[in-house]
Amino acid sequence: MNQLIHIIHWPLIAAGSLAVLILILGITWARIYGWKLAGVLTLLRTLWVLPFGLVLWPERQDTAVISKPPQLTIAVFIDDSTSMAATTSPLSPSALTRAEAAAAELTAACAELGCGVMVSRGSMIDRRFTKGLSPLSSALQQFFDSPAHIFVVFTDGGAMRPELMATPWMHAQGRAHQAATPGRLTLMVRPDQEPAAPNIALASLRSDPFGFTTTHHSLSVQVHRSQQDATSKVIQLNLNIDGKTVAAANVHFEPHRSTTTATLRLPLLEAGHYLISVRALAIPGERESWDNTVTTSVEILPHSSGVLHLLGSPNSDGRFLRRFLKLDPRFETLSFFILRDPWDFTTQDERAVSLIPFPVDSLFTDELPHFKVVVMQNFRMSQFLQSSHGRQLVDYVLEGGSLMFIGGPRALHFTDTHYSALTELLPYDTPPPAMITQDPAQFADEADNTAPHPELPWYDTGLTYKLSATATSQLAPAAALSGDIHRLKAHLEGLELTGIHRSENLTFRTSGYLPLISATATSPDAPTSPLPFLSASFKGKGRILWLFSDALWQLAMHPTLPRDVYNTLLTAMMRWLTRDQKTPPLTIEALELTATALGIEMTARVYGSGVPYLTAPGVTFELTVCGQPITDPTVTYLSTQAVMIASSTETLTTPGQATRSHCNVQLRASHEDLGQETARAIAPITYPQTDVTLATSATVWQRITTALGARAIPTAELIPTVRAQVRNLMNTPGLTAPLTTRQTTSYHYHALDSWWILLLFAAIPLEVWVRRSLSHQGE
Amino acid sequence: MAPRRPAALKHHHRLHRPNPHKNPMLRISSYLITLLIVLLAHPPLQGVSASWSLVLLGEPQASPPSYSKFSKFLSHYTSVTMPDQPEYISAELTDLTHLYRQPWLFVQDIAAIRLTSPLSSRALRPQFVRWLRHGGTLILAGAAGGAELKQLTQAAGLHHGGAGRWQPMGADHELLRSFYLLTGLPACKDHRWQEFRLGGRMAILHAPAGFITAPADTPATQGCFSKLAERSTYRLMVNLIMVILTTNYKQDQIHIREILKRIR
Repeated sequence: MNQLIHIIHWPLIAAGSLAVLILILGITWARIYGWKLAGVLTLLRTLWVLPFGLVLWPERQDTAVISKPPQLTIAVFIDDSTSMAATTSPLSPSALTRAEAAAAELTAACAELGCGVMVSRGSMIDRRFTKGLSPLSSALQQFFDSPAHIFVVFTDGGAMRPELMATPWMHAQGRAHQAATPGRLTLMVRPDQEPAAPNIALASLRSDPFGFTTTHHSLSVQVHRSQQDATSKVIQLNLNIDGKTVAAANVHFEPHRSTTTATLRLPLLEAGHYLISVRALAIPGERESWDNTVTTSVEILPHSSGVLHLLGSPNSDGRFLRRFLKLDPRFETLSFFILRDPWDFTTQDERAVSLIPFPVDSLFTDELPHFKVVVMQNFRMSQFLQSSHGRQLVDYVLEGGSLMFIGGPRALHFTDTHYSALTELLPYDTPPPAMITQDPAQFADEADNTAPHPELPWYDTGLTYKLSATATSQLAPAAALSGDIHRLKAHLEGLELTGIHRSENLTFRTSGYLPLISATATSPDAPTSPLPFLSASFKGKGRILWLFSDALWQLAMHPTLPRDVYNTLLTAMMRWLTRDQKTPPLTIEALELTATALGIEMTARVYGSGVPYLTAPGVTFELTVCGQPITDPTVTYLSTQAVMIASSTETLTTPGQATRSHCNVQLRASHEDLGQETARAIAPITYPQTDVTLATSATVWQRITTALGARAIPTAELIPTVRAQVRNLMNTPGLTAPLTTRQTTSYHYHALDSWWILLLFAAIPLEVWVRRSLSHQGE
Repeated sequence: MAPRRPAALKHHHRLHRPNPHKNPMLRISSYLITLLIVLLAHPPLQGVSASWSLVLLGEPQASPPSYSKFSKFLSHYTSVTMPDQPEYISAELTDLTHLYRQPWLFVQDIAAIRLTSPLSSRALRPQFVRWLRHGGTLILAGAAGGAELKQLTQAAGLHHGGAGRWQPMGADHELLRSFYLLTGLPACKDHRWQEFRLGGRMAILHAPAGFITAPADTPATQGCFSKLAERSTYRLMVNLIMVILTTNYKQDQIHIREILKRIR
């Protein structure tokens, strides 16, 4: 039936019928008036009937259209949360109403533009959205998964707090827009009409995760102001520790600047974990105070490790080591450098010299136990220390002190190795003087230990060698240090340095001595057997590291190695020597605790050298969140030394406890042989607020816009912006298609649109006049 | 720091301490005998390897300037020793890896590192900047304005993120007290002694023209250092060497009580 309707052309039938009727009429008139007059009458009748026929004849229009159906999609998100539906007065429409109207207008406009509009609402994506249980971020995340070219978001940002700061996907979304997808556009439309209120916001509270009891810990915080006016020129910040205000500071904004950074200093604190918060006092007219406070946690450690650095003569290696020790807050370094030898001239005016006597008596008799590490670098002991001081140094090591021995032209001098207390600490069997080929009396007075003496550890300044890390299987007592060195193996293996103690004829001890890095000489006349470069040894309760070279600085200045390799190696060495937790093997940072209806959700980043061992055989780890043990945390490896841990507790609080403002997280890893390591952190618990309790937030709205890389526009500019973008995209290769002609039929009496058609009706009186004339002739 | 004298050396001092009540000739002879004994007991240069060398930017010369007098001065009064002849590092090479053998470099004429120089070419500049950032110290001599210096370091990206900045050298700078107590730095016409600090250390020193050649055996006869006493020039260079080798080591000496108090 439908086919039949298409085949029958009604205007043609009508026209044909008219033509037949006129023909019958003409034949009739021919029989009455003759063929000539009948022809004239038929012509006149045809002329004035023709408009009626033309009226019935439809108009056919040819329009050029795109050959494919519309491909350009505009995705519209409408935040239909409670705050959007609220109205300030009964007469004014709500933000939601305005958003719906704007979306409808956009749909209509798109019909002309050849694009499709796909409207999503928060409640459509997640039913819990309007109840405030599902935050705006998750709804938006699902919305942006849709394949569209233009995204339009109507929101007031109300349901976003307080997890706004932890939405990395938003930044990823923004970056993807800007980089990967040309032409994609996100428009943020704020449908409410509230004037922007002045606002102060704090962000990026940064500090080292740990500090020391003896030094002031510093924090920096970014302060933003929304309006550059006089009321926000000076902002007062309060520094709170565990909820108590301990200090205040004023932040001054420079003219025309909306962001500044403030540095705050904590008072000296006892060892422990502290919850630190910084709060900005509200300015006149400020409506949003939730973003005036930022929080972090800091662990205060007992104190930094004292390091006594003795350098026999200024050289490059001493300079680099000193800079490393001085720049690291974990070490409190006291240096004594021998700038002038005993045999140097002193007859000049001593008042012109800024030298300070080496307080050897007080240092070695009274202060030595307070140092965690003594560094003897290129140092000739017998030259500057009396035998009693040497004895004190040995006792210091036996009682648990640490010694870092660094070689050099002045180190391991014959007088030291044979006639000083150092003999007791040496990791090799000292050859008796009788076994030495050359008479020691001939070289004992030499300043440097650089002349070849095959039986002694003389320093070969020109020997070039390559490093190789020793296998780790036999290094259990120094497992941590060995592991750190092993991680640097890629950088150290084959590295060429110059200058080392020759020790090929020495017999190193088999117990209490662990070679860590060895050197293979590359010079033609050099020994073939590997020489020890870095070794560890134990004496009594103490630890000693033997670095048989003063060439470590060449690692720092190597043309291809990263500068960090030198620092990492020295950090590992110092950590092993200090045995403390200044750089704990496990550290928790970026801890976030969020209360949900079911419990507390926790995310944290754990980093440190102990991370690779978390999943090693024989290692068990226990995670406790707010006092509740977690059995199945989600562990995601970010790198070899960092993991992300996520979990949730089954209840909001432990039984018998009230609602908390903050709580502790503890991660303990245990191994039967290696012992256990514990990492702790403290953080405030974030209680998400429902949308009902959250008002419209200009600050949040602006931050979402920035994070998404979106363009903020008022409602009135939506259609022109979309129109321009659609036209722009239509001209983009990939969206264009060949045009085709489409025929359309119009029955809207188009024939009457032309004035000359009306002239045809003039044939009516003419036909009447002819027919009357003929009638009168007949009478 | 003045080290403890060995017991034997002290003994010699006690035996031969001049008596002020004796006549002057006896005092002088006693002094000379003491000096002789000290020198014989501790031969100063025997078996001492050089721990410092003057590394200059430029092509090796057939007859390089000798610094033998300054070398003796340095080894006689300090525990640092240096060879008489300077070392040279060519700026024309396309590879500056040999630069990393020493963490300091002296540039006699600042024009050698101007933006149009080979050293500042796109190929070499990253290596040069990397050397500086890794711990290198650059001593520049010659006339250059503050704007030009800033342009040089900015082109090298050394100001990025507030990492470093040019600053005048104050009266409490370590250069004035690293070994000798100096009352000030020599004033040379309109020259302003400046340093570029990077990571808390002196990374670049801008000294007046002629500063590097001033301690040579045959210094220039013109320029402000020609008027300066030889001993003053030597002392200034000794202090600079100590700053390069020990950075701000003297700070520890000043704050020794506070440091000890903190670690107790």
